[in-house]
Amino acid sequence: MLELRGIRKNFGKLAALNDVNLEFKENELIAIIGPNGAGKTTLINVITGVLKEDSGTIRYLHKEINVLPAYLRARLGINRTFQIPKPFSNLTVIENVRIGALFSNDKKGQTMEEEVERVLSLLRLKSLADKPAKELNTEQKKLVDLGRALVSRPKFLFMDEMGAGLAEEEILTLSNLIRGIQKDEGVSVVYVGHVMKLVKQLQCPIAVFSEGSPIFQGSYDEVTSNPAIIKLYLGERYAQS
Amino acid sequence: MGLWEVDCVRFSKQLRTSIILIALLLVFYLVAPYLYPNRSFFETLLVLTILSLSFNIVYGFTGYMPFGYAAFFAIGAYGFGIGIVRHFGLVSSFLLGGLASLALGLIFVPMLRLRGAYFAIANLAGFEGAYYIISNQSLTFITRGPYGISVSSVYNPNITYAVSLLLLVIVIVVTYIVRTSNFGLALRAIKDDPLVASISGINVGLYRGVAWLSSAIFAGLAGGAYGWYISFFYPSTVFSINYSLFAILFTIFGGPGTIIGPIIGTTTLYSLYQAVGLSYPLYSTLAFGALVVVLIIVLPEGLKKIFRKYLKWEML
Repeated sequence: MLELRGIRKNFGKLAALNDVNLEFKENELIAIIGPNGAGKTTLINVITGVLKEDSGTIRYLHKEINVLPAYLRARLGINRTFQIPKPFSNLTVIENVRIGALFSNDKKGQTMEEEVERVLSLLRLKSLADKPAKELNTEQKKLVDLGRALVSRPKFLFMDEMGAGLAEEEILTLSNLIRGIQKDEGVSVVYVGHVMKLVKQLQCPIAVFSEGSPIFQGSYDEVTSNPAIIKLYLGERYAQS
Repeated sequence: MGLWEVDCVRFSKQLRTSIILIALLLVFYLVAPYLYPNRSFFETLLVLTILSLSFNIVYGFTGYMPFGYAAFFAIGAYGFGIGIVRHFGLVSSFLLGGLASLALGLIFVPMLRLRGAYFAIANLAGFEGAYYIISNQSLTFITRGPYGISVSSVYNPNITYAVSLLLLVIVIVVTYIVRTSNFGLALRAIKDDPLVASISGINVGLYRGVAWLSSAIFAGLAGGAYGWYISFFYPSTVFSINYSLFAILFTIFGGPGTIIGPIIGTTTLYSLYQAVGLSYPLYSTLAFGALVVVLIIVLPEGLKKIFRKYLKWEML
């Protein structure tokens, strides 16, 4: 269980996270949605140690991990991907994935190379293995980013919006991939985004963020039929009736 | 995952090339002095090659550009000199040179928090600081201050040459291990994107620090060998910004991050410097300065890129 208590983060006068209390359980898939500037990415940054919160605690494995630097949180099994994918551009695809495997959280008896191979074929990146990441297109870069995170066998994987600019079928493929990963890898996936079509396909509980804190939690249907959320964020076309 | 754990596939892939390289270098340095009897040239070339390869460990693998790199070289010469003056014995004095450089490297570690030009300038300031401390009159009882230090009691150019050659082999082997190990892979990742590297579990500060300090040790040992060879030196002899310039220029010209690059860069450019520079000293300094600017703008990967593009050969 990953537990956030009273997390606050201000940028100047703007409260990006305003007293956030959240619990993420093991082995679940959950989506976080909300308008731009609701604090979704800041939330990931604070949990993974990229940004330091102003106050509050993050508890994981009976430890307050908010005192730990980012690399130690990663070694405890908290990993992430980026909205604008950030593979190591001068490293090849396989080297990118190897980096993730260096401090693998849980090897399950496999060697590092076996684990790297497994993730490469899972994400269909094998044919690109020796290509420098900078020569890839955006979709491939996203997969490399995901591979680097996945190969470390995280317990919690925060995925920052991967669905932007995707066509209908691609969204279906991606959502199937995410659901598959969550089930097969025994990882909790927290998907953060605002592409509603993708979120719908994930078929998972949704938390809605607004102005720095979660204001509603429920299923896709509950979210899309809640008048306050429609008014605030989704717009009339998501109204169920 | 061990810091120095080597990937066997990567390690064995270029092993034969590296052994051939080392053999060729040994033959060159043992035979060439008979064909062109200029002992001083080959000893200096050897020392500068070691210096470039040490610089390469920092610049080539972490991207930091220490303009005051000569400070490690100089403090190594002084560590060695002070050891000899105090009768520590030859071996201990030589190691003291490396140790002094390591200590200076540790003092400079906080500079690694800076990036780009800020780091380069801070490091240059560190170089000046070290120079003024060493040459300070009131420290004459330790460093002989501005009067220079003499190690002529242990003068033996043959042994210095042999030790330098051994040092060259060691620094090549270390660079090879860095290139093929997970440590080196992690360094390259950090160079690309330190944030994502830390998200991947890499202790960025530690890895940078280890590269920085091992680079410092080798530069210090090179300085010790040089001081040993020239036998007497003033602070300004070894605290010369020229050594920074040499290491930077030679490494970038050949190809940072490789083994062969700094070796080719040093051999070509230093020979050129000797051929042209001695008759036109002012012009050669000007030309070297201009070359640094042109290389960084036009060819930041040096010959490595040309080899890759036109010969389809990935430089070792």
